[in-house]
Amino acid sequence: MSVDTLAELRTLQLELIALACRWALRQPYDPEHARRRRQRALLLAHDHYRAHVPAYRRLAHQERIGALDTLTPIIERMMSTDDLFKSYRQQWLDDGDFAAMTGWIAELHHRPLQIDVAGVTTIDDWIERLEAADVRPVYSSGTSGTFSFVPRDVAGLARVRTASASYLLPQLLYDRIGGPLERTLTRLAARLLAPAPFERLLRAISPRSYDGVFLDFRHGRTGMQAIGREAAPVFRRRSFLYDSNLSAATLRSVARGPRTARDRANLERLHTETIVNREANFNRVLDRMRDSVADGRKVFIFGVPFQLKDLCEHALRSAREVRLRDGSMVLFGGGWKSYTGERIPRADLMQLVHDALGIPEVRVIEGYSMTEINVMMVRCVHGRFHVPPIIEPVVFDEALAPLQGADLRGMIGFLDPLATAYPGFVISGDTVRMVDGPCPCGLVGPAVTEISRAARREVKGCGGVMASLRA
Amino acid sequence: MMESFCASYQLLTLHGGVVRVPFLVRGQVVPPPQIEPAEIEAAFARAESDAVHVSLPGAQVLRLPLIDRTMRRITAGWRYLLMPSIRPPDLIELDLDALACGPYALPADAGAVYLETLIHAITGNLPLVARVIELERAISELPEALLNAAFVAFAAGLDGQAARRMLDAELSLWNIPGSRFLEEWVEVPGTPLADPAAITGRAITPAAPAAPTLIRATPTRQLHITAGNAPGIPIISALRMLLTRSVGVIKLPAGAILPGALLALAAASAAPDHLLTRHLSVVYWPGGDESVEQVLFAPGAFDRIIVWGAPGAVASVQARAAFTRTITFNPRYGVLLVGREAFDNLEDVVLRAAQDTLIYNQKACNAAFVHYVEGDTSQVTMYAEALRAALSRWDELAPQVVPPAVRGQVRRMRRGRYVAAGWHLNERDGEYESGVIVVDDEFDMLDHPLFRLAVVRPVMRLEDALTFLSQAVSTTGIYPEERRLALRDRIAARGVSNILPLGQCERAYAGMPHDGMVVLSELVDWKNG
Repeated sequence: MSVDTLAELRTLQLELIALACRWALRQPYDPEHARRRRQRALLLAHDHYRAHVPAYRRLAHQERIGALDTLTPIIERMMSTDDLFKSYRQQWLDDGDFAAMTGWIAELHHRPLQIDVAGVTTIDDWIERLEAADVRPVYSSGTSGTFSFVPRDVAGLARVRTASASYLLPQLLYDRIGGPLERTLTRLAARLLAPAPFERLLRAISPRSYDGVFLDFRHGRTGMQAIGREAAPVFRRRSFLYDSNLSAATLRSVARGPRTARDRANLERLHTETIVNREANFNRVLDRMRDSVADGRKVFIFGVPFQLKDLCEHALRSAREVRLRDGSMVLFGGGWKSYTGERIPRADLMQLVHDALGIPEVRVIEGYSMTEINVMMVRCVHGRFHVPPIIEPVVFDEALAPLQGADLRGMIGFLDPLATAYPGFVISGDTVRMVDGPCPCGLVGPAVTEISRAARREVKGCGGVMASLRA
Repeated sequence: MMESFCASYQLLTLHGGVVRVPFLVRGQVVPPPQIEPAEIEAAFARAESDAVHVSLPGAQVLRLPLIDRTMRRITAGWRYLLMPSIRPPDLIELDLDALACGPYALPADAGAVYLETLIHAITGNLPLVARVIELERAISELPEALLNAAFVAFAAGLDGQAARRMLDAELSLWNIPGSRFLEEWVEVPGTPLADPAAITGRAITPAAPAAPTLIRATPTRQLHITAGNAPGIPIISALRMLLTRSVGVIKLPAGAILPGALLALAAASAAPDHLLTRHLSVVYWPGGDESVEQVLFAPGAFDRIIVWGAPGAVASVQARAAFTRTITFNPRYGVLLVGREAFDNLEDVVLRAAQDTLIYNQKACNAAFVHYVEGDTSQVTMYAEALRAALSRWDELAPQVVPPAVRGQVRRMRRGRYVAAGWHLNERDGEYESGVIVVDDEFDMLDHPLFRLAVVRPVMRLEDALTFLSQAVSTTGIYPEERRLALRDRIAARGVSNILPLGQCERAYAGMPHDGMVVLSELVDWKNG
C-alpha cells in the first residue's frame, strides 16, 4: 500500500469525523454520501491491513481475497471475532515468555515490532516496553481470565480523541448538557472549524466547568480505564474511587488464581483497596462531590452500572446523599450485571442515582462500545444507541451470515475505518436488535435498541449448561 | 390399549403441524384440550419472535424447528407439541399413610416386574413406537441412526433382569442383596458402640437386652428434573424411581417429550390400577417457571429432588428447596488420553477414539471432547488427520444435521481465538460437517460447539494432561491398556468418575456408579429399626 493511499485513508477518516459531527448536531447531512465515503475508507483499510498486518494478510490469502471494490467479501469472510485478540497461548503468560507474546501481538499490528524484552517479568512490564515503541495496548479481561490485547497506537488514540470530541460532545451538548447558547456556538464552530481545531475548542470549553469522578482505578489499561485516562485531564479536578493502580498481572491473578508470592501480595492489596477500604473509598469520592457542590461546580461521573449502584446504595445507607449541582451527569457503560451476577434493572438504577446524587434520568447517559472499536454509541432519551456514521455496523445470523433489513436481530459486528494499527473488522459476542430510520430524538441511521450476550457462550451437555473450563 | 388411548384422544399423531402429547398425572392420562393449529400459530405470532413456549387456556405448546433429513438441514418450519397445562399441587403426594400401605408396601420385586410390564406394553405396540420415532425424527437433533439406537437402548433399559441386578448391587450392605433391604427389616451384624448416655446412666437405668441391629431401605417421594439432550435421561430417571418402588414426578426435557409420553401411555394402559402407576407423574413445564417450581420445591413436597443441570440451576433449586435432599448430576465432559503407542496401530485407535467422541453425537457427558495425544508435532498432525477420516466415516454411517449456530461457532473459532490452530475439517458443500482442531494451548470448553468437533491437544507425556483433569471430567478413555492401569488411580484422585479403555467410554451396566454415586442408594431412605 502506498503512502498516498494511507494519506487518503487519513483524509477520509477526518472527513467521516466531520460528517459525524454534522450528524450529531442534526445539521444537513446526506447518509448516502456518508455511506460512500465510509465504504471507500473501509476498502482502503482493507488494503492497509493486507499490506501491513500479517494475521489479516494470512486470512486474506486463505480466503483468496485481494483488492476489492465492494465490502461484501470482507463482511462475509474477512471479519474476525473479538477472540482474535486473545489468540495467544496462555502458557506464554504463565511462563513469562514475552518474546513469544511480542511475536504474537506483532501479527496483529501494522508495524513491525522489535522490542527488547530482557528483564520483563510481568504483563505490565511488557506493556511498558510496547508503549516505548509507540504501541498502546488496551486489554480487557474475560471471566475465565483470558485477556484480550488490542494493539492500538499513539496516532490511533489521537484519532479517537478527535472523533469523540467531534461527535460525542456535540451529541451530548445537543440533547443532554447544553443550553440554547452552547448549542448555537457548537453548531457555528462545527461549520467553521476542521475536526482537529473543533476538538481542541470543545475540549477547552466544555468539561472545564465539571469536576470528574471516575468509579475505577486511577491507573490501569482496561477499556474503561483507557477512557478514564483520556478523559481525566480535561476536567479541572478529578477523583478516582480507587486511588491506585490495577495492574494487568493482578487482574489476571483474580481470575486464574495467584501463582507467585508477588501475585498473592498484589491480591492482598487489591482486597484491602476494594473490600476492606471500600466504604472509606466511597466516602472519599462522596466528600469530593460535596466539595464540588460547595465550590459551585458540576460533577461528571464515569463508571459501570454495579459500581454506580454500590456507590448510591452506600450513600443512602450511610445518610451521605449529595445534591449535585444542576447539570451534573453520569456516563456509564459495560454490563448490567453485578459481581454477584445479579441483573440491575435500569429503572432501579435511575432511581438510586436520583435519590443518592440528585441527578435526573435525562442526565444519566449510557454508552455502548467494544474494546476493539474506536467509537462509542450513546443511548438517546428514546432508548436507542445511535451508531455514528464513522463506522459500519453489520448484524449476523447464527451461522455468521450478514443480515439485511431495517429491523434486525442477531450478533453485531463493526467495520471501523478509524482502526489502522490493527484489523478493525470485528464481530462482537453481543446479540442485538438494530433498527434503521429516523429517531424521535432527531438522529438518523442505524441504532441498537437491545443488547445481550450471544447464546453461543452456553455449551449444553447432558447435564445442562457447561461452565468456562480450561481443557 | 395404548393405541386405543391414542385414538380416543388423537394423541401422538400429526395434525396440521401439531402433535397432541398426553401427560400422566398420578396415574391418570391427561390429554391436552382441543386447540386448532391456527390458534397455536396465532399465539406464537403474538409472542416474542424467538419464543419456543406459549401458554393457552388449559394447555401449553412447545415449538421446535423441523428437520429435513434428506437435505440435512434445519428448516424454517415448526412442529408444535400441544400439551396440557399442569396444576402443581396435583403432583404432590400428601397422604403418607396411603403411601406406606400402598406402593411402599409392595414386594421388593414389584418394581422390576412393573418395568417388565411396561416393556411388554411397548414392544406389543410397535406401530405406535414406529410412529413416535417418526415424529421424533422430524425434531430431534440426533442423527437418525443414533436416534433409532437410542430407542433400542430405551427398551433395553427397562429390562427386568438387569433391573433386579441393579437393585441387588446398589442397595447391598454386608454382602446382603439390596432387594432384601427394600423388602423388609434386615438384621445386620453390627456391633453397637459404647453409648455415653448409657455408660453414664448405667447406675440408675434398668438393664435391657440389646435390640437386634436392623436396617431397611424405604422408598421416597422423588422429583426428577431431567435436562439436556440425551433422550435416555428421563427413562433412566423413571427406571430408578420405579425400581425402588418410589413415587413422584418425572419432568421431561424439551428434547425428549415424545419418548416420555410413550412411557406415560405404556404405564396407564398396561397397568392402570397398579400402585406404581397411580403414584407416577410424567409432565413438562418450562424450567424456571416460578408458578410451578415454587410449589414443587416447597419444604415437604418431596423427599428427594434429582437435578440434571448446571451449577447455577442446581444452586437455584437448592436455595428454594433448602430442606429437601438434592441429588445433582452436573454438566461434565469426557476426554481421551492417547499414548504414543497409538502410532503403531493408528487406524484402529482413531476408530475407537471416534466412537468415544460420538456418544449421543457428542452430547452425552461421557462423550470425548478433548483428546490429549502424546507425540511430536508431525505425529499429532497425523493423528488429527486420521481422526478426521474416521469422523468422515461416521458422517456417512450416521449423517448428522448441523444447526446453523454450530457452523457459525466454527467460523467464529477459525476467525478468532483459534486462528492459529490446526484445522482438519470434513465439509459438505463447503460447510462444516465434523472435524478436528489441534490446539497447542489450553482450550476453553465454553467455545466448544458440540456436533463432532474433536479438540486434539498435543502433550509430551500423557502425565502432562493430568493438570487438566478435575471434577468437571466425567470420563477418561485411555490407550494403551497398560498406560491406563498405570494412571488410573492418579486420574481418579483428580475427581474423574470413569477411567476406561479407549473405545469403551459409553459403558453402562446395572449397579454401575454414576457421577461418583451409587444412585439407588441415594434415592432410598436408609432406616434403623
